[in-house]
Formats: sequence, C-alpha cells, structure tokens
Amino acid sequence: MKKIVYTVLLFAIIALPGGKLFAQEIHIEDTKFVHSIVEKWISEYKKENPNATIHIKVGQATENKASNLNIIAQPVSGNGNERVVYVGRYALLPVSNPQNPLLGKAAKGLKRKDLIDLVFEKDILAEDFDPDEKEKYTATVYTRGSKSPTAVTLAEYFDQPFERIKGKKILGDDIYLLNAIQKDETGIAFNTLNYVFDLKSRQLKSEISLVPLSLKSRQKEALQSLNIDRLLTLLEESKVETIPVENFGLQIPEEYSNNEEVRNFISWVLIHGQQYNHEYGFLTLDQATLASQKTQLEDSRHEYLSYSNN
Amino acid sequence: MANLFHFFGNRKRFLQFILCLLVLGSNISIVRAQGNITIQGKVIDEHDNESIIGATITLKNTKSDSGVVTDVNGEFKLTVSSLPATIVVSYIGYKQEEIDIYEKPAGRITISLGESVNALGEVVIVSDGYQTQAKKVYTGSSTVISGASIENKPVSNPLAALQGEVAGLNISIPNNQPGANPTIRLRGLGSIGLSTNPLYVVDGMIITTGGLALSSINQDDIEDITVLKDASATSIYGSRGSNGVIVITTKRGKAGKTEVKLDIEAGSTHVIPFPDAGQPLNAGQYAELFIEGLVNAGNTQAQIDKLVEDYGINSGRSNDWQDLVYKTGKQQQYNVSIRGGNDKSKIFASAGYFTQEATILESDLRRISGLLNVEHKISNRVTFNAGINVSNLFQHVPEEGTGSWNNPVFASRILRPFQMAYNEDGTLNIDYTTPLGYTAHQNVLYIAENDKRTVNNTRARGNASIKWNIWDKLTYTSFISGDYSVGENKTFLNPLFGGARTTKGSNSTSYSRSFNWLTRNQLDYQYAIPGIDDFYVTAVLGYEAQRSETFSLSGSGTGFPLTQPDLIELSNAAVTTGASSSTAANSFTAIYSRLGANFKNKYSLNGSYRRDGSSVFGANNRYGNFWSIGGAWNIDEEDFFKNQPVLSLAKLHTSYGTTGNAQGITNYAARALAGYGSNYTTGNGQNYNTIGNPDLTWEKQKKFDVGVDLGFFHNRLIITPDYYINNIDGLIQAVSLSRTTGFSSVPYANSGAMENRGVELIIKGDILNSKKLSWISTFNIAFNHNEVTKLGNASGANGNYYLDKGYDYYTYYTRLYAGVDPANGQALWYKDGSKTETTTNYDSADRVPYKSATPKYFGGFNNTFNYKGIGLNIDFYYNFGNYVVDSWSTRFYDGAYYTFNSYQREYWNRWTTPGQVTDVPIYIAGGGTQSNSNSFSSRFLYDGSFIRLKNVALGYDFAKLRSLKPYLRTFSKLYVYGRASNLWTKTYDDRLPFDPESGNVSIPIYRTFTLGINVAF
Repeated sequence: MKKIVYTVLLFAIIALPGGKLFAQEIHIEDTKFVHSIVEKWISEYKKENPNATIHIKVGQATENKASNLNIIAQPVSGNGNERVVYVGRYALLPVSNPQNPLLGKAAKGLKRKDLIDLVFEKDILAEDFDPDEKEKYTATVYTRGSKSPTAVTLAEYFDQPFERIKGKKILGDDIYLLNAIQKDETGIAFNTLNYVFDLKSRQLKSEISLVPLSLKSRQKEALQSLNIDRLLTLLEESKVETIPVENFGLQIPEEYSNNEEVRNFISWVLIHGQQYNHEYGFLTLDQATLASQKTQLEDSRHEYLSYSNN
Repeated sequence: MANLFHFFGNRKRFLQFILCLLVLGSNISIVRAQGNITIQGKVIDEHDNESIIGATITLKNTKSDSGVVTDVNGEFKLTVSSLPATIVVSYIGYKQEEIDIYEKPAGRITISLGESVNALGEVVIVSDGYQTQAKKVYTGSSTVISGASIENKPVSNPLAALQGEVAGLNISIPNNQPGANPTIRLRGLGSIGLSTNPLYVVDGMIITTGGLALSSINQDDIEDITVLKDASATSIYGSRGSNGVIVITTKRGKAGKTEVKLDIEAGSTHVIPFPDAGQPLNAGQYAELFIEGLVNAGNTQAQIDKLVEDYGINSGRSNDWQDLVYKTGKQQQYNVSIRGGNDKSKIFASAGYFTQEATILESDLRRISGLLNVEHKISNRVTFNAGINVSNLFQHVPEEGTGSWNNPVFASRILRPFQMAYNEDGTLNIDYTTPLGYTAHQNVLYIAENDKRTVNNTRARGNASIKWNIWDKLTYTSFISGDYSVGENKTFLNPLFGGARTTKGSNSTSYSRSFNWLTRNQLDYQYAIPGIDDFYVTAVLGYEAQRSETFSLSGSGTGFPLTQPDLIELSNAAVTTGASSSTAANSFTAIYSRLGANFKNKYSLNGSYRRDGSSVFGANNRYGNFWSIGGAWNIDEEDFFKNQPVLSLAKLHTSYGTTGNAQGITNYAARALAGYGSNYTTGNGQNYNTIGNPDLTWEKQKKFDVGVDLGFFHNRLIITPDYYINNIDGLIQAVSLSRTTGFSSVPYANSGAMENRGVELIIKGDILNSKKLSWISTFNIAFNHNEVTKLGNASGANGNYYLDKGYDYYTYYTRLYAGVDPANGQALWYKDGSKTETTTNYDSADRVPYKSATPKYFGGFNNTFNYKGIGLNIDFYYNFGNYVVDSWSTRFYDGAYYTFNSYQREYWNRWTTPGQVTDVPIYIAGGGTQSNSNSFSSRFLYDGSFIRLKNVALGYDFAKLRSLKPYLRTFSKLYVYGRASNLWTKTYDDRLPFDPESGNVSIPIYRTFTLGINVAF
C-alpha cells in the first residue's frame, strides 16, 4: 500500500504545475539547444545558493505565461528587447552529410553570397533575378519547421526573409537536423556548436562534415582543426561572415523585475556563469555586451519601479 | 525515503526511474517514440498567413496510415504510429513540403506553404459566395480577377476595370458619366424582357438595387472579383444565376505585421475628338452648305439673302461648340488602409476619396468611402466576422437622351457655329427670339451654369457572421447582411432660359430609400472516407431569405424667383405641380445544397440543388427547382501523364444544369393591377389596367459547359478553351391579347426561347523571363452566337431590329441603301434583299434582316513587362463584328435639319454634280424630295469593330532599389507610376462619325492621364 502511495505522490509532485510549486521557472521550448548550459548554471548557482528554487522546464509555458522566464535566442527588436538580458552567444555552423557532392564542388570554400544562394529561394521580383541563371552549388537544406529561433537567426543573419529558406523542414529539436542530413547525402544544415561537436572530445562529430567556407588563412586553420575551442576563440575574436553568431538571453516578465532570486541568478550568470560557456559549446559575451547587460538588468528594475509609481 | 528505495528495489534503480521520468518529461528523447501519436496542426499560406483549406497531409512511405485534408479552418489532425516519420503537405499551386517529425510537437504545429513560382499567377481558390474550393477540384467555369490587377485603374466603377480581363464577359461603356454602370453581358444576351445583367454579390450580399451600388465600392478595397459562368458555378444562385454571377470580395485583415498603405493619384481627363468623318462643320463649311441647301431647295436669292442675314452667316462671328462644351477634367483619388492582426483578431480598415470630371460640362462624381472588416476568433471553434462599407456619392449629371436640346453632347453637335455662346459684352447669350440666338436650341453653357442636376446617394452595406466549427468535420455559419441606400435626385431648371422658361423654372426632386436584408444559415461538412486514401466528400446545406423594400417620394413645382438664383428648393416654388410616393417590396427564400466528392485530386464530382421561392411570381408558379452537376478530371494527376515531357497541366471539366432569371422583373408583375382616378367610362373611380398572370415564373436557362485547362513547358504557357450552350426557355415578354378581353396584352408572360452558344479561349504566356526583361501576356477571345428559338408573338419589327426564330436578337431590320443616283443625287434603296432592283421611294423598299448589333467576337490582350524593376502594363480591348447605328441620323444628313450643324463626311461627299458617284445624296434645305433619305436604313449602320489601347501604366518600386534601401527601410513599397487610358483606338469603318463604343447619344469616352504613388510600410 505504501508503495502505491509513494508512487502516486511522486507522480503528483512531478505532474504539479510548475508555476504553483516552483515560482522561478525557466522555460525552454524552442531552445532546447541551450538546455545543457542553463542547467549547468542552475546547478552551480544552487551550490552557492542552496535555498534557490529556480529550475528549468522543457515544454510549453503554462497558461500564466507571465510568471515564467523565457529563453530568447533570436534577434529581438522593439519593446520585446527591453526585458531581455543576454547571457551568452551561440554560433551556427554549416555541416553536411560526409558524402555530400557539395563538399567536393565547393572545396575552395563558400562565400557569404554562395551560402545565400544555397539556402534561400531567390526573389523573383528582385531586380537582379534571373531564372535562367544556373545554381552554382546545390544541396538540400534542412531547417526546423515553424519559426524556430535558429532558423530565424539564420534568415536574419543573411538578411533574407525567413519564408524564403529552401529545402526541407523537420519538427523537433535542432539536434535532429543532424539525423536528417545523415539520411540524405545531399543534406546540409546550420547547427549550433554544442550539437555539431562532441563536447567530451572537443572534436567535430564523426558522422558529419563541415561545409567548406571561404575564410582567411587564420580562420581557415581554426576551422579545419575541427576543434571547438579553437573555433570558439576564433569567433569571439573576429567576425566570420559565413558563420552566424547570435545572443541568447532571458526575458524577464514585468512581474519578475523586482524578484530578487531571478535578478540574483541572472546577475550570477553574467558574472560567474560565463566561465562555463565554452565547456558547453557557447561563446561568452564580449566585455561591452556584458557591461551593457548588467545595466540592462538594473534598468529593468528601475523601469518597473517608475512604472509602478505612476 | 528508505521505503521508496525499498519499493524500487534499491537506490540505484530509484534514481534510474527518476532520471527516466525527467528525460521523458523534458521531451529530449532520441529514442524512437512508439504507439499512436496525434499530430495537430494548421496549414497556412506563408505570404498572408491565411488558412489553406483542403491541403493534403500524407505520411511518406507508409501504407498503413491514410492521409488527411485540412478543414475549413486549415486545421488537421493526423495519427502516426511511430516516430520519426515524414509527412508530406501538398496543395495545388503551392510548393509541396516534406517535414520530418522526430519529436511529438508540444502543441499545434503551423505549416507554411509557399506558392509555386508561377509567373502566370494562377489563382488557386474559387470562392462563389457559398463555398470556397480549390481550383484543382473545382468543376465549374469561372474566372478570378485579383484586386491587385484592377487597383488604381482610373475608372469610377470597378466593373469597368474588368473590360477585356475576362473571356466571355462583354463590357461596353456607352455612357461615360463618372459612376455610370457599364453594359455587361456574360456569354451573350440572357433575356429580352428582364435584366440581362449578371447577379452581383458583394461580401455575400446579393445586390438587388442597381443604380450606384457598384460605383459605391472603392476598387482599392477589392480583394478579388470572381466571375461565375456555367451551371456548376451559378446554379447555387438558382433563380437569379442565369446571366452569370459576379462575386466581389473586399479585403480582410491578415495575421502578421500591420501594413499601412497610402495611395495618392492625380491626373486629368482629356477629350478624344470625334473621328474625322463625324467632326462638326466649321463656320465656312457650314455657311457653304447652308446656302447650297437653300439653293437646292429652290429658294430665291432674296430669300437666301434674308436667311443668311437672319442666321448671321455673314456676321463675321462664329464659335466652335466642341471647344465650348468639352473641356479637360480633373481626376484624383486618395486611399489609406490599415491591414493587420494576429491569430485571434484581424482587421482591415480603409478610407477613400475619389473624384472624376468627365470632359463635358457639369458631369462629375465625388465618392467618399470607408470600409471596415474585422474577424475575431472567439474560441478555437468559433469565429466572428463583421464588416461595414459606407459611401457617399455625389454626381452632377447633365441631361441625356436623343431629343433634348439641353443634352450637351447633342448640343455640341447640332449648334451652328454662328449661334454665339457669348454676347459681345462677354455675357452668355440667352436670346430666344431670333435665329441668332436659340429659338429652338439651348445655350448649354447657360444651362450648365444655372440648372442643377444632381444625384446624391448614401449607402451602408454591412454584414456579420458567426462560424462555428461544431466538430472537426462540420461547420455551421450564420450570416446576415443589410444594404441600406438613400438616394436624392434633384433637377432644377432655371426660370430665365431653357426648358422651363415658360413655367418660370421648375424643380423635380425625388427621394428614394431602399433596404435589402439577407440571412443565410449554412452547414458545411467535409469527410475523408475511411480506408480509402485521398477520398473525401464535402456537403453544403443552407437556408437563405432575402427581402428588399423600397420607398420613394417625389415632388415637383414651378415658378421660381428670377432674381434669386439660390432659391431653387421646392419650398421656393410658387406652384406645386406634383407630389407622390410609393412603396414596394419583394422577397426571396431558398434552401440550397451542394455535394462534392474528390478522389486523389484526380476526379471531382459536384452537384447542387436549390429550391427558390419568390413573391414576384404568380401564385401558381412561385417556387422553382434549380440544379446542376459537374465533373472534373485532373489528367495531370494520372500516372501515365507523368511520363510525357510536354504538358505540365491538363484538366477537363464539364457541367450541366439549370438556372433562372428573375432580375429586373417588377415586384407585382404577376398580379392584376388597378389604376385609380378614373373608371372605364372616364368618370371618377378605378379601373383594372393590367391583367395578371398567375402562371408567371422564372426564365429558365439550361447551361452546358465543357472546358480544358492545358499547361505547357512547366506552365509557362496555359491554354484554356471552353465551349458552352445556354438554352433559355420561358423568356418573359409582353404577349398580345384579343382586345375582347379588355386588355391589349399580358405584360409579363413566359413565352419565348433563345439560345447562346459559344467558345471562349484564354492563352496565358510567360513569354520572356530573363534577368533583365520579363513579359507576361494574357490573351482572351470569346465567340458567341445568339439565336431566338421561340416567340410569343408574331415575328417582325422590334424597333430597329428584327425579331424572329433563327435570328440573332439584335439583327437589324432595315431598308438596304443602294447609294445615290449619279444623275440627280437622289438616294436609292434596294427594293428587297435580292439587291437586284433599286428605288427612290423609301417606302416601297422592303425592310430586311441585316447585320447585327451583337459582336461576333471580343476580348482582351493584356501584357506585363518588367525591365530591371520597371513595370509596364499594356492592355488592349477589342470587339469585332457588330454594327452600330447612328440614332440621330435624321438630324445630321441631307439638309432636312439644315439649321443644325452636320458631319464632315456629309460635307466632303455630298452629291453636287451630275455624274458624280457618291453615297451621300444631294443636300437640300428642309429635305425637299429627299425627305426620307435620312430615315433609318443600312446607310446609317457602321462597322462597330475596334481595338483600343485601354491602359498603359509605367511604374517603379523605389523600395526595391538597392541604392535607396538604406534610406527607405521603413517602406515595404514605394511605387511611383504613371497611367494613361484610352490612348489609341483603331476602327474599321471610315464612315464612322463617333466612337463605336460610346455612340453619339451619351457622354463620349475620354482619355485619362494620372500620376500616382503607392506607399506601404
């Protein structure tokens, strides 16, 4: 009988709506690729703050969305940007099936324009549209369906409409893009470094290949090393126009602007959490951004206070 | 906790269990999911986020799971047995999407489909007001014109913008009064006694009042116009679908970024001169003809000298009435709109201001309009829609008609160059006592300045509907719409000069109000047949009721103050000469249904049935049944088709069914009517003046249609031929009665029959598609043969036409002109149709059926060029094989009305010398022995064929210009354009004195030049 009671209790605890039991909940739905680093931050934060209740939840936000912290991993503009505090950066690396004929054809390396041609439909209404122009390179581009953050980042980075991304779509986390290109010899995909590299060996996963990119010699050297740390250093030190890099952060709901635990946690990530970024395949924020995000964190509180006083 | 470990065996197993739960909970599973998984989603158009209905979702490489189609909300639910799986989402006209599913989505997924890159812009949806269907499975014959293609065309009535755009839709614009309705015939003449206009449906409302109903719509507010042609398309409109149906849908809100659009256009309207043959005479020519006519009439020199003096022929003063009456007009329009929304609510709102002046005195239109369409999703299953369109139209309308001296079109043609518009002191000449002034005619400049002829129409058309998705397959829609219109017409004639001089001015004012409401309750059902892949049925069942009520009030008075030109209202009249009011109403009610089946998008069957009832028909025949059946075979979906390289599209469709015509019949046509005021012996009382007809019912049309859609070279060339036969029975005419009944005729009786048969052809070509230059061309042509097959009365003359079985309804019935006797200049006619013998006696020549006013073929040729982003549109309209008549022939020829001006051709070719071979008789003042030479004969019929360069538009979207992009980031569109209409017309009869489309009765066609800018952000 006790077994049954314990089991029911256990399930009940797990199944309880997080918003009620755990107030500080970080939701990850479209951004599972940051799950590992956020989890690491939480665990390290909890070591220093044993009473902290902040935790991570994967899946759709509950109905009371305002009480949840959301991960933002795509360019945000306007009002939505005001309560986002960026905590790290990620890069999207073009990878392909090792058998892809593109690897041979594009051995000299693809330029930014080549990637745009490869990934995006041409605008038939644009003044330079030429339907008779043969595609220089062809491949089947795999991206996530719907407006997933990485796909939106990809489109935004290359200054193209999201809707014009060619190829096939998948439903599921970004990691499945690797499954998709493994099934298709012509497949390529842009994916995050933590997924394309083996984080233990720090080397590129064996079942995929890098799409050759046209780079300066030092950049090429770093990329060809197939070592994630060298690549992270490279991307932090210089902009590589063929590799999209985007911030990711936490969006603080208005109600949380003065929640000390949330603020403490984010502040901790900005000060102490950055040290774990590389280990988990993410870029750290540069110093200027880091400083601005600390200010942003402060401003969000002031903004709410002044709003409340009105 | 120890107990927990005990329950799981040990601590390690307990932790494994927890880990397992967490992994499952976090959904990061890279193992294959097993068991039935339901994927819920919605398919939308990536461009406008609108739901795609009928999209097919299938599982790739799986036989056990059948596919599903999206419902009326674009939603679907698909069960898969295991993951990963690949679904294929397809819909005709869109790029097929393959989606690999690795994880069960957390919620409803949204799949965006992009349209196939098809420069020909094939419209893939047909919405007929009752149902929205994919073109692929559509069994009817219809044409959809997108609002974008008619946007900003410089016309005051959106239907005029369709000229040349739709095969089989003959649009002629004889009257160019801004706001006037064009004359429209779809697939030939549909009736001889009732309306021949198609049925107009605006946002689901069946328009029952004519007049300015369509001019009240701002064409920039139109999303699309669907022209329904055959039985499969129109029979759901039952008793009112015979002449075809034109469905106008206004713009709706769209989910996504809010778009604000601003359109500004300004320009001018310019006179298109009459053809050389029809130009009025100048002063010298008129003087020469005047004197020659008097000489030929046998006047003495003294008589001639007196008349020359009286008529000011030698006065040294003259004016050109064409210059005085015609002018350059102004045209401008301003439109602003907002369009946006999200998944729950969508809105479209617009306001428009349009003015246009015709090129003649006192003829213009001003329209102010506003439209608001909103949609709100109350819940996942219930959607609310509402819309309101409000407009005010104000027109100055000059007098029209063939007999009125006040008609400026007529006046500018007949007034002599020596009738001076202005006195020497600059005041307007209103002398009505001497031939130097206006003893018979009127100085239309003074009339235009002092008379008032205005039309003011305010209209509000609104609708609201609730759509309830009762369950996935069944949707209920309740729709109600109202159309309220108030019209005020005022005709004030000044007391000093003109038609009302003798009564010291007159005012005739009328007020009319109409209210038309319609309600519709409809169930839509869509069901995928289980066990058979891609086989589904659709059903529509509905009830509809409509009532139209009109009220009119009119009053008239005379005797207005001479010195107070502002006192023109009825209350200022010294004498009230009339006051009346009337009320009328009619009702329609119907049940309707449609059943469709589609198998693999290869085979479609569609059947409809409607039972209509109407108050306007006789008690014995008040209800009627209308039905249709149609089928389509998409040959390109067959396996055998895929092995050939030439054709990329092949669809065969055919339909047969019945429709009716009740449009234009008076509300009480079937009833016996009494007149009040006098009895049969002219004493006070009443008398029955109209015999009733309790058997009166609809004109019925049986329509057959067969058509093919063929696409070549990846649809860069699309050819669409259609063949149809429309048999009309029960044509309503007045039928003669024996006078012993006390009546001369039954005014409305189902007595005749007629047939229209024809071929339509549309050719669309994506002709050039290079980096710098593209050229898309659409050509359409329609041939129609009209034939009367049964008559209620004896055959014979019907005005200028011949009415008999076997003839086109508009066959002329005329004496055949044989030219001029070279010896004496006398007119000759053939005695009969054999053309073997001539006579100078008009009355002894037989009238024979000759030529027709019906065009043999007509169509359009529309081209869109793009050179490095510069867009150029060139649209032609053509019309061949019809003959037009000069309805004012008696006034302009041979001197019968020698105090009127004449045509140049009369002057050039008149007979003057014995032995001269010509076709214009001797000019004799007052007509003399030639009094019948100007009477109606084949001499006054002209080949009405023409090709017109209807529209030329040149523009460029500066928002697309790379060098300006950094400065124009705010704008999604910054399109600057210039447009010209009616630039060039080619006619095929040198004798033509007027434009073959306009004639010489109404305001003639004019040319417009406009410059505009469209801004969107």
